[in-house]
Amino acid sequence: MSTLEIEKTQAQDEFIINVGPQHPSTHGVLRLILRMKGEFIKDLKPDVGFLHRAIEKIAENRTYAQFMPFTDRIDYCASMPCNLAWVTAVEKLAKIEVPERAQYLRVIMTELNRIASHLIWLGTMSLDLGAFTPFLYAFRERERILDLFEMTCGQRLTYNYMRIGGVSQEPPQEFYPKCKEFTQYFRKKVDDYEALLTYNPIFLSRTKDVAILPIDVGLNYGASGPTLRASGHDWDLRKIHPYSSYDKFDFKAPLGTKGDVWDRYIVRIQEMRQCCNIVDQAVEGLPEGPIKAKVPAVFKPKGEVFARIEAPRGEMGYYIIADGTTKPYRVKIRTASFAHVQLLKYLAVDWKIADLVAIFGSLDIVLPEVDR
Amino acid sequence: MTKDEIEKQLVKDFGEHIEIQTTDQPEPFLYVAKEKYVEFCKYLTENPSLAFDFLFQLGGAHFVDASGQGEKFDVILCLASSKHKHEMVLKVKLPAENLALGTVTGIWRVADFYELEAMELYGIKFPDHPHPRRLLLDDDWDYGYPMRKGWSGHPDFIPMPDKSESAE
Repeated sequence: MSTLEIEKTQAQDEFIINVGPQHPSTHGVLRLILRMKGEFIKDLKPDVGFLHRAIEKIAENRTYAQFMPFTDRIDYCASMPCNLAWVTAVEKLAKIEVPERAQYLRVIMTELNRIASHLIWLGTMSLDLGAFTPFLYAFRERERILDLFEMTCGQRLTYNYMRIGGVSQEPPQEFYPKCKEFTQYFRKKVDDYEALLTYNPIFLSRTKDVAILPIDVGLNYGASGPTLRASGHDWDLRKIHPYSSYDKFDFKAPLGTKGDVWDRYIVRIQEMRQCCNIVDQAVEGLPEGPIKAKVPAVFKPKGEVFARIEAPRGEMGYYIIADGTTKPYRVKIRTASFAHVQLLKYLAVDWKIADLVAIFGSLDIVLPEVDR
Repeated sequence: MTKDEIEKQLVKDFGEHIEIQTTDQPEPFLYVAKEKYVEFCKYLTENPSLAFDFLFQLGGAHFVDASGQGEKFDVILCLASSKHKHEMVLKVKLPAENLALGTVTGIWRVADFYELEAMELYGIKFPDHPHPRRLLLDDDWDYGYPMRKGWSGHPDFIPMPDKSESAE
């Protein structure tokens, strides 16, 4: 996108700043064109598409099972939820009953991945705000989660763990004690992050009352997940439309009060604690049984389906049109960041450019998810 | 509201302009006439018993019949209500010769990027869109609409061998 369009609206004492696409605070390749008046942002246009890999087109040329590794790449910070969204949609389409053990394993992996994803967000957001230590702490703990994943499926970033009808393999026996050990250890670490950041005066002055998002505006802009819950809207798909046995676990969806940057921070922090509770319950209550339903090798569903799940960044879902062949006819991928990147303009206008990094960090946008 | 209740209410208020699809899904799937599309969307958000305030996604789809001659387009919207917790899939049929459709950015702001995406990937036109521009593709993209079926491809593109048939 050229800067011309935004220049048209430029007043005499205003100027244009280009941020990105290669810029540390844009968490990937996002370009922002800002119209500035002094230090204040007057208009903002996000320029996306630098990571567009046409995943939706690829889906039309792969079978349902073959598309699984591509879902990993939609959001590489949280591959498990992307896997889960795809299998949920295909299973809903083909009416496949998933064994309970597989559902529990999916929950364990998804929640661990949610923690890992929130740790990346915590590390990068605090780094953007000038706090270097939480970044190192967060990545230290994330490493332990990646070890758990590596133990299970051999991968550290793009797991390709789930299968239509279940999961690919049983975790090794030592996984479960390690998992419990991790949640115990991690709860204390969350206290450490909070000690460093939550009521730190510098952090508070950068985040408190900055970029408030009212609930109705958030809904209108398609905001979801922690971003919307920070405004106080009690909406968590794990509770409202439970999938993959989430109704069997006791957990809370933390809510904010105001919807400022600090609320979006505290909601995610509390969510990490809740993830630990879910993982603990799932490990303890893990039922015996098969880990994969019997799914025919040649698999030709027909019909249309729309399924959505709660991914770490918000709601993620697929719309599939199946025409009775081995490949989907059309796949539309809905990701939370695609909606949130539009929210940026609403939130950042009339704030200073220094606040932009705090606002952007608090939305937890990852660019592969925007561009697909 | 349940699927049946939503369908009943919509038939009551927009009877001749909608066409309900029979599916085995828990959400209602329906087509609305192109001319009534924007009005219908407004009604969906404003009617207190429906209150579809959350646009989950909007996307295009391209259908070509077996002969490769007849083609049509759909615009598909997935809607949800944060108040009543129900969901719905709304579709609009577009004939290939006239792909213009009203914009819903005034109703759900999130539709902005979704419409831009449908515009450049499928060639669906939204003449009333407030800021039409390129979104995902290059600024100098001049190779047609890539998500359409039978798209000829980028001249520099070397296709991967199709292995999915051998998977059967």
